[in-house]
Amino acid sequence: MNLNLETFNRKEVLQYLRWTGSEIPPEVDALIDDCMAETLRVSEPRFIYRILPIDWEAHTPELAFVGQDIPNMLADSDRVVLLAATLGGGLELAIRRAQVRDMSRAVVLDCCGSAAIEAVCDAAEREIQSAVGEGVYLTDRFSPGYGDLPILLQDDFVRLVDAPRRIGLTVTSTHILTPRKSVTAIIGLANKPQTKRFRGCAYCSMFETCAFRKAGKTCGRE
Amino acid sequence: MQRTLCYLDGAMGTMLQQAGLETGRAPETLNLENPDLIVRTHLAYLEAGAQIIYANTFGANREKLAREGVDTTEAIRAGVACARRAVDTFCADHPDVDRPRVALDIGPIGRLLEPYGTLPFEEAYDIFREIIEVGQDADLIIFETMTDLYEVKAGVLAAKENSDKPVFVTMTFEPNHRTFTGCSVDAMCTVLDGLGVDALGVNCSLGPVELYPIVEEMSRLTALPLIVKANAGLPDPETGAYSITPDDFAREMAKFPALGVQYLGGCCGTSPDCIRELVRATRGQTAAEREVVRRTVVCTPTETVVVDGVRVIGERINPTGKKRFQQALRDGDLDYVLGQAVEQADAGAHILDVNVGLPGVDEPSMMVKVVKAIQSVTDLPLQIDSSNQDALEAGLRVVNGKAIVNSVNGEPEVLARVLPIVKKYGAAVIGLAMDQNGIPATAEERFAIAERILNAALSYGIPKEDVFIDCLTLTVSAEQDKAVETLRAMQMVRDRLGLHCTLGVSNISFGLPNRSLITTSFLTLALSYGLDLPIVNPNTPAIMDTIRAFNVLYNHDKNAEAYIAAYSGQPAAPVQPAASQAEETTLPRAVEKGLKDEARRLTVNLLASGKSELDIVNELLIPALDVVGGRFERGEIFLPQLINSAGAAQEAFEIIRTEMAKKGTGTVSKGKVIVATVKGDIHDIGKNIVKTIVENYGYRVIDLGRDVPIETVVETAIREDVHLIGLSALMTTTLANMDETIKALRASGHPCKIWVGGAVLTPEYAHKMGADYYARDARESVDICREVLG
Repeated sequence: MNLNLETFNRKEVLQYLRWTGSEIPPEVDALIDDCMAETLRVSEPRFIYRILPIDWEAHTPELAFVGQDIPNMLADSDRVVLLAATLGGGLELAIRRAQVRDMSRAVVLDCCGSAAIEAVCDAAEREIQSAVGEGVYLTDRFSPGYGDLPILLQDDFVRLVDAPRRIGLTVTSTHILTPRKSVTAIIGLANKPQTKRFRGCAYCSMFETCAFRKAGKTCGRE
Repeated sequence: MQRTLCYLDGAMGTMLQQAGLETGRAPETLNLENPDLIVRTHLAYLEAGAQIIYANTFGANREKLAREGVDTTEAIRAGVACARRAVDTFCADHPDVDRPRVALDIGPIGRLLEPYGTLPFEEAYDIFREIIEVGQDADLIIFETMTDLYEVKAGVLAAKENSDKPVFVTMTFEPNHRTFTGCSVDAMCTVLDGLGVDALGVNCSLGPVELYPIVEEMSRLTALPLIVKANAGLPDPETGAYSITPDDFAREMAKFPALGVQYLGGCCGTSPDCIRELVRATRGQTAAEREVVRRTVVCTPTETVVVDGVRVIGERINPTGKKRFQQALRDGDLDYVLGQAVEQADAGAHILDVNVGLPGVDEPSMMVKVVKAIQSVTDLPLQIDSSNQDALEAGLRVVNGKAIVNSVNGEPEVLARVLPIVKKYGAAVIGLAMDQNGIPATAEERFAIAERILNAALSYGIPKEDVFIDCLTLTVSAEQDKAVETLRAMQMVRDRLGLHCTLGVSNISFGLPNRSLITTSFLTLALSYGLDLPIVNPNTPAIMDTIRAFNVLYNHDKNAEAYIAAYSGQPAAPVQPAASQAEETTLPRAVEKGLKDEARRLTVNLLASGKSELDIVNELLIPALDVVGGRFERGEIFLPQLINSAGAAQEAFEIIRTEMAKKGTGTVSKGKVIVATVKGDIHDIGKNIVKTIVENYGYRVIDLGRDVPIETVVETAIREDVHLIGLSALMTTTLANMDETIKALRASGHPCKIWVGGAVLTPEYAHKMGADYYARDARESVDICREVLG
């Protein structure tokens, strides 16, 4: 599915840039705005998902979920969504190009890409929610390589959702997604409301003033 | 020419899934495990009317099948054998029907090629070569569902160099008329026409209704026979079922022959019924003849340059007479070369000339490196410039798109040597209006050579549109009567031969004061006499000004849109921090504030005032960077500001390096370090930040890039005698390769210190792996360099 992404979270960009509350000079502010606009211009957000039944204990017939994190997350779920999303390769060219003459622009673009792909996943979740209807609750997103879910899973994951053909997303022989700004994630579909993990500082109302963040720490929520 | 329709088969995978193939399993495994099922499926399509059937070899490449534990060679042989068996059976039952043909079906490798992925072009070629060699029993070769034109090029070259069978290519487009990798219909047609495929078209992704406008565009851009293998409509996002019936499919497909489509078949969701109805619905039709406008086009997959007005060829990537460029090539400093590429692209060049000829440099291999590197940062078409035939071919081979060859001349031996290469790779070519006797004095004689070059090109099958003539500029201060001859020759070439003219103009003014006046005046004249591919320095404003004005005056730039965009109310450049008037700007201050232009200007002034290069580095630049680094550590500034300062220092360093290259007085280097992102890992921005910062402390950084083989790190360390090596890895899975790289360095006995960094690393883990240092960020990397190298 193609997606028309209109914006993404600027605070998240600042967080990826490890901003801790110092004064942002106007030229850096302008650089971030400019990079956000370029990211939206050169990205071609696409996502694909597939809903599979869970054959509990903690694995489906097709994708073996090893470890404890996924079984914990899926405890209340009877189905699982496999989501794959990408910004396409255009942003990568822009980043590589910026690296040649303006490294600072490249770094900001890179962080914009990270924030943008999260926004694509959020949009995909909204789409999934409307497809499964009310009364079905989504768990968090959990990606191969997080926690104890091995990154080796990328290969099977990508094949199961037919990602190369459907959205142009492939995996390297070392299980890295290409194009780079891409995400695969597992989402459980449960029949009761799910506690969401803390989504990070960029979604916190204390973002600008938080003393922990200014000290380069977190308040401890995860 | 009347073209009889030819029917292809429909979906294989869909049929096999209906027959119970487990999803997630590669269909090619069935060639060995259940060949009868495959033969039955082929037979069903043959009975429905298919005249070309695709062997079940779509995903049979070593990258994909290795995961299934199936031998690729066996799977391909068995796949082709199944198809042949089906054809034999069919022919025995239908002796009156022409024998259907078997296609070796080749799909995408499934891994992205460099620079977007990690698969090198040469390896892609080798994967395809292997398939083609094993699949020799097929009647023709078809590449389908391709989205990356570069991958297609590797495949077509592999097919043409290892087989004499016809080659068909279909690519998969999205509703925006682009593939997932951004390849346009125009670029596909241009490149594949040039590579000499036998038919091309589209398959998959969409149904016949949605594909229609894409095929319509294609039908205007190539005279080659067209292929359409459409899906049975669009899949339902919930169930995956395809939306249209065989009747609807056939009715929509029946509209294609009128566009000149000769080969018709089905892709995902289609069945033998679809093909049967298709045959019925198109009975009596032939593929329509069509008018294809011949154009002069060069391209990359994403950028097409049609030469229907003045197109600027940037001349800066050329070491001739440039000490700094020569030094960069000798040092393998591709960043400098890339800087020249991006600068010209930003200045408005349409095409980039690439020349890396320099005594002592292995030109063919340098050409490959530089072409690949440039393609990773810009999508402008390239002009491969060399007098070395091997370098020309090496460059053309790895060019992603259609390039220009610079150049041939009228010498028969040169024409016989170079034109076959131009033809093979589907390039355009520049012919210099000179021969073994030198540059003729008169326009008439130059014209005669141009005509000879054109005829030679035509005899090799190179179309007229792809031949450009360079009537050659001579220095007006030395041979004043020759400038007019150049102009007259161009006029004759344009008017009598109808060819495009190219010309390097800057030589004209050599030896005269106010060179720019002579150069731009000559350029204006040349443009009006037929020059439409000037080879110039686009960074010189006067040159681009002249071209923009010409385009207005000659009515090329409609409503002066480009002109107005360039000179009035242009979008504001990114805000540059203004240097306060009240305080006197110094170099350290310019660095601290990240003022690039100021840093450059002040460095030039300091050098002019007699301050030594080393003093500028040690007394001004490094202390300024230390101030910035301290602020960064205290959280007073953040990452973009740190890097901006490094960027400003880098500008100052560049001035210093150029100055020292000019004087031949060595370098300011405080020592050499290697940085590399380890094998298997492609996250390199962190490593690149480290490189930028470390470089600005005066260290020479040999950047091996990303996904670097272990042996490359070891070999480079030994060869370049480097004793400090930085390794970066971002993934837990690639930490193992970091570990292996460290072990290999230690095992080599080469004395060196190793520092490591990356998001998943901890000081403890670094220590465990045997690294000497762990760096949390670029700042700490500088401290390590200072400690080890001083």
